[in-house]
Amino acid sequence: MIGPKARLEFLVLAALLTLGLAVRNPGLLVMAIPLAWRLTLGLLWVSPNPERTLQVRRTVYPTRLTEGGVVRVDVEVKNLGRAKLDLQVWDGPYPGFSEVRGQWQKTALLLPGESLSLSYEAHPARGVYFLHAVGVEVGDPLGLAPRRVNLPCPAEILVLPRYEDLSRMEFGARRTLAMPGTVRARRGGVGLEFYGIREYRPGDPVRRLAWKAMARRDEPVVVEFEEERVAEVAVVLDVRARAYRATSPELFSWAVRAAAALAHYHLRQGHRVALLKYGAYLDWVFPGYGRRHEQRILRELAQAQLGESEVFADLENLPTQLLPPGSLVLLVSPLLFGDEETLGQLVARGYRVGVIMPDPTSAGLEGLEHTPEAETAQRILALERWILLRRLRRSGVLVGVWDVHRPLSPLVRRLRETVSAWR
Amino acid sequence: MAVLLAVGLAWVAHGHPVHPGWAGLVVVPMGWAAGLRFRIPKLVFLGFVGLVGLAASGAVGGNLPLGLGVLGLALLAWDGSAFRGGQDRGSAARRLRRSVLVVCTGLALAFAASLLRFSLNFWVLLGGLVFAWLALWAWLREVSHSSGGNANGNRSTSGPTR
Repeated sequence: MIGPKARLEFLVLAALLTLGLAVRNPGLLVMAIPLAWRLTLGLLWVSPNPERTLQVRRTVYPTRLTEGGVVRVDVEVKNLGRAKLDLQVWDGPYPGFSEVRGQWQKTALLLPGESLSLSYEAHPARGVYFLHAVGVEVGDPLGLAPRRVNLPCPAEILVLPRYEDLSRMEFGARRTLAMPGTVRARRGGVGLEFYGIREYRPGDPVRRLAWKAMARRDEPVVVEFEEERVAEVAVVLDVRARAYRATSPELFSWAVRAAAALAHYHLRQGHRVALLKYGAYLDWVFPGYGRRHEQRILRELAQAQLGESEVFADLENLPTQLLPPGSLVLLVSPLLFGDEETLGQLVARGYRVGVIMPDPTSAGLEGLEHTPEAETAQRILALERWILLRRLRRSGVLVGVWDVHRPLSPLVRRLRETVSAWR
Repeated sequence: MAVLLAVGLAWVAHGHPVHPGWAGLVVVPMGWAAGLRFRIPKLVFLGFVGLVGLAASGAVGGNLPLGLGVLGLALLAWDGSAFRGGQDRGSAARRLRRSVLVVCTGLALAFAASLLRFSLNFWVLLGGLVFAWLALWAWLREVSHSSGGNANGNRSTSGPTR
């Protein structure tokens, strides 16, 4: 590629020649000789496709980390050809990488067989990063035709959301699946919690005989425990940009972390967990079990971004047909006015609905100054939210307002108690 | 420094006039320095074109050796301005040496050509130049559209360190 330097020199040369011929002045033609000599020599020295002789190796460690972690990237460019190469190599800067330490670009003259190394560390934000190529500019001796190429060297860095390990949750789905789990199934069977007593049937183990009750009734009775089974859980992350408007950008990150914590907890309990990102479009991870499924969900959460869509502006298009009635729906959202109606309808249709509401005021409101008007606005917002919460609780939705600077675990544990107090 | 020297030499090539209008020449080194300082390539381009113009006008005025000197200094300054940042001293010195060598040989060729005495038909000269021009244009076109845009070679993919 002919660079701007060569183009300008060529133009000056052309101007001198044209002028020299026009005014028939040999002095101007002679002046053109050094320029013509430079251009000819410089362009002759340009080696065609020098990048073919370059070997690039990029090492990324770790390729999978959680928010706040440090990733180390090493790049090695080796000259396998026979010619000296004047190189400028860069890897980045990548958006989302912060606190970059080390060298992510370098310039050097690379002799045959020599190699050039870049090494840097960075704190990547949550997300999936595709590092496709390493940028290289191969210069020529006079800088007339620098060649800029991207040498493919793909790498992927997955930065998962940092989430809390929840200890206990009191509320579960209304309907359970056939497999044993941790949600009380409201029926007698194998479990730990006392459920009731019933008459002895042949085959019942003798150690479950309730001796005192038997003495009172004068017939053999056995103790029954409440059966515990797995349930179907849908974690819904609200990605509607409208819901997070005028709040700190960090609030959405906290919402993602809460969704990750909820999904992790329920998967650890053995439930079938689905993830739905609702807002820009429908992004659904079908219900599933196990560690691989958890990784799938975490990967989706790592990629979660806010978006706008007219179709999904309200919660009324929540695809509940994908979940059987009686399932547990956990919504993580700052909520908007009008959402309470849809959530109330879900409760009426038999779903158990819980909402974790990251408190916008705890994350800080964006661009708000400390003026009397701002304080009034904040009070109005707080009142609106209070009305919204009251409506939600009346319709049977379990709501927890989460101060993002406090742990989520105590809030989730208290959620049931809060609801009973309100009822 | 080379720019200042070139401007001074251009002033001498024009017979060191004392007209205050010649003080306007300081715009060239100032513009050049500002272009380098604030990374405005257009100012450096303009400075280079201005110096070549001064050299050409000196040559037209009859002082060809000084005109060539101005041109040589302008080319050296031009090469120096295009050096990329972040390179080591050795590399910069090597580039400078190469630039000086190319410029000096170019100037020597031009000076030698000016000593030659021969007559050439205008139309032959014009035809020759047009031919040379077209050949150069075709060659540049070939160089800029050469294949090999997609890099390949023996490359490994990324992976974690052990």
